[in-house]
Amino acid sequence: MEFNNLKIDFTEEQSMVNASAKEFCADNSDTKRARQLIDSELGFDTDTWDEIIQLGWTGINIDDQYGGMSFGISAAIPIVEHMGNTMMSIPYPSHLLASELIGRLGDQSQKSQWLPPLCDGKRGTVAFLDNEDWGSEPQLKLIKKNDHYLMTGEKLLVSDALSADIIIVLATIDTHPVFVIVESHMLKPQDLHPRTLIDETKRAADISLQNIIIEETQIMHASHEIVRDIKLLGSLLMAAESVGVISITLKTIVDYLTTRKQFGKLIGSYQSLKHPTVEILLEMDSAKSLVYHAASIIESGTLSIDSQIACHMSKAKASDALSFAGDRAVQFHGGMGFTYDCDAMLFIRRAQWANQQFGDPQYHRNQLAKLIFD
Amino acid sequence: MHNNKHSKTELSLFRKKVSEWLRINKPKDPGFLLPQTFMEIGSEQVLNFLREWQFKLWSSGFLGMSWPSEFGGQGLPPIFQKIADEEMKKQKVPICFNVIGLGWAGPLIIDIGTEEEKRKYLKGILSGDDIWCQGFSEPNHGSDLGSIQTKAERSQDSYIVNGSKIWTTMGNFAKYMILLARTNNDSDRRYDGLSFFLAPMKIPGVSTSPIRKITGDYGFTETFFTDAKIPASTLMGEEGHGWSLAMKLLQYERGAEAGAAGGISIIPTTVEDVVEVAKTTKKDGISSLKDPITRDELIKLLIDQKAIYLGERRATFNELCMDFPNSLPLSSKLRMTEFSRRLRQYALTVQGAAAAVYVGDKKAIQSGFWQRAYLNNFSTTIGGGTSQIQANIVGEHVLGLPKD
Repeated sequence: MEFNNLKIDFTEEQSMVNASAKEFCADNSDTKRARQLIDSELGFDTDTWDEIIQLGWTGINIDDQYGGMSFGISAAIPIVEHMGNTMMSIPYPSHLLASELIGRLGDQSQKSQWLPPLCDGKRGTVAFLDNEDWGSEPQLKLIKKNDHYLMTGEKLLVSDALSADIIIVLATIDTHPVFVIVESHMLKPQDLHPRTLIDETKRAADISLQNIIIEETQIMHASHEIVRDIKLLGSLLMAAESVGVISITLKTIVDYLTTRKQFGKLIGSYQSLKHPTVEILLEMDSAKSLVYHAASIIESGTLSIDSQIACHMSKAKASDALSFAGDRAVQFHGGMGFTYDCDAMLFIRRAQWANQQFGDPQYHRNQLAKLIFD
Repeated sequence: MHNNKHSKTELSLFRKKVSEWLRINKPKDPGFLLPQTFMEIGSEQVLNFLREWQFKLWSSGFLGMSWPSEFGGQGLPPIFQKIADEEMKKQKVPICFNVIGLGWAGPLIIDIGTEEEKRKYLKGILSGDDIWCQGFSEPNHGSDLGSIQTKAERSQDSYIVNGSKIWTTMGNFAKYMILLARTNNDSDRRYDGLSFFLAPMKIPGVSTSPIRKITGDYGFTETFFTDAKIPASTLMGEEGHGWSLAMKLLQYERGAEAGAAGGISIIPTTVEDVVEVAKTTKKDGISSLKDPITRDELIKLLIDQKAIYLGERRATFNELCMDFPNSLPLSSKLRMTEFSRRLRQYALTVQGAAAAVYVGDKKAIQSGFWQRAYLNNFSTTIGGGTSQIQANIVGEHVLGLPKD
């Protein structure tokens, strides 16, 4: 049991990106804007997406030979954190994961075909789930038919499926995992079934696949390791976003505690509210340290044990911390906290959504126990 | 002055030398439980054992290496002591017990003391002959040093000291005390009237009364001054400058580079240590390390331990701390001491029925080390500002919450 990797680096690229992400997100989002977008079909503002394209962030992790910035996915961590910090709802994490997957797993021609459009702003997402268990093995089967395959079955709760141009579907051929690149126009609109989410700022849909013809060129043959790695990178992005959400939750609580009076005193002066609020800060700090550690060590190839540990720890800590923050945000707002108009509503709902995404904290701790104790 | 270049080979040879020496000379299990900190020295037996160990380290050339050679040191660059300390930590040898001398009084004397003071005090600190204690805290004032009441009144070439100090570690054994006392009652700011002394303890008018701790051991005393007459020459710096000298002491603690003599002053506990305990115990008929709940608890602790280490690193990047500046340094004590409390308590939980016994029980796991360690940990969540005060400080200074 030796894992003393305590590296944290903050590269010049990250520093640059961090500064512009902070400004960009503050200019384009806040809780008021997030509420307005709840009623929109896609859940985000396409003008904001266009600006993200202009900034080059749609290809931040992609090699420059395909039109990207070659910064690696670590450089996107501050962006995703700032999106969380402003409750910017946009399918950016889904997109990053899709392009990262093709960058890691695709062959030359697949990369040449799909990465440039993704860099240019076509939106991607990855369809993982066959059931409600993030830990289960992939089940959807591809059946060989002459010189192609047929894909029939269902994927559940696919993030941002409705707005995606490219959906990468986790499936199997003879029990071997594969990722299948599907363009959204290959699906009929009635194959997408939007789900009603607890976090109304997010979007997800189930996808029914009926005898979809899949050519060999759409198939990326995967391994257990790459499936694990891409889920871990998803966990890390989720953890980064959660750290941002905790931060805005904390600021919202502090605002209320420093303005609201009860029994003649500002309620923030009561230790029963003050101390748990400090606890939120400490837990957020822990999560943030773990996230930036993970971002400092993740490899562009197969993730090392250290990196796996860092990603699992990030998600476990960030989700627990956000759940606590959201829960206390509602409680500390008293009667206001029980209303739809109070922003605590946004945070507690986000917390429940983020908690399960890519596996809940218990799942990640269980994986850690296997890595460390067995 | 310590900027001589020493080659990598020279340093790694030295490391090898220390490591080998420690392996051969590391004391055998004395048959009683050794302390993890210098605050746990409750008997002559323990004291003598540690005194002998410190003397052996020093006389073999592995302590005080960067202190001046004319006063018991070797005048070497601090890197050598740092290496020696790292090896001591690695091999979990006993602590160097004379902590106040090695880490506080000694460096201060080297810094601002006269030749005579250096000659008088330094060697005895290193050899362990002269035990030092610290007299800052007072009854009823906790760690609020601004409220110090103990008086030192000038009378010709002496000061007459009256008052009392509490939580004096090794007060009953000490020959000298670094004493913070009030020399001026009239100053406007309450810190201005404080002065700093190297006070003798074995003189008329100084008495100590042992405090029995939660662990059942001794280690602290209350110290009483009744018209105790100390030479005016024991004043360090100028009268009224005691507060700034007391603050200066804190920086020496950071190790040999900062002036400390070296040696390890604390034996830390880690989750890895608790995992070792879990390997030897069972839950519900299976190894504790196979028990899902135990695993989950241990992993939670591992995550928090790692986050503590990483926080120290992240704090060096301003850009990664902009949301809540100073949050990491200001919460560090709260975070670490509370974590350690949880960890040590859990070390009992994994023991099953064996958690019920205590030091002195023949079959106690690790002689009851964890039972005692858990109870002792409260000295860190209470001393130096309780966790509740720490949480107030973080809430008010980092988050801007109102005072109560």
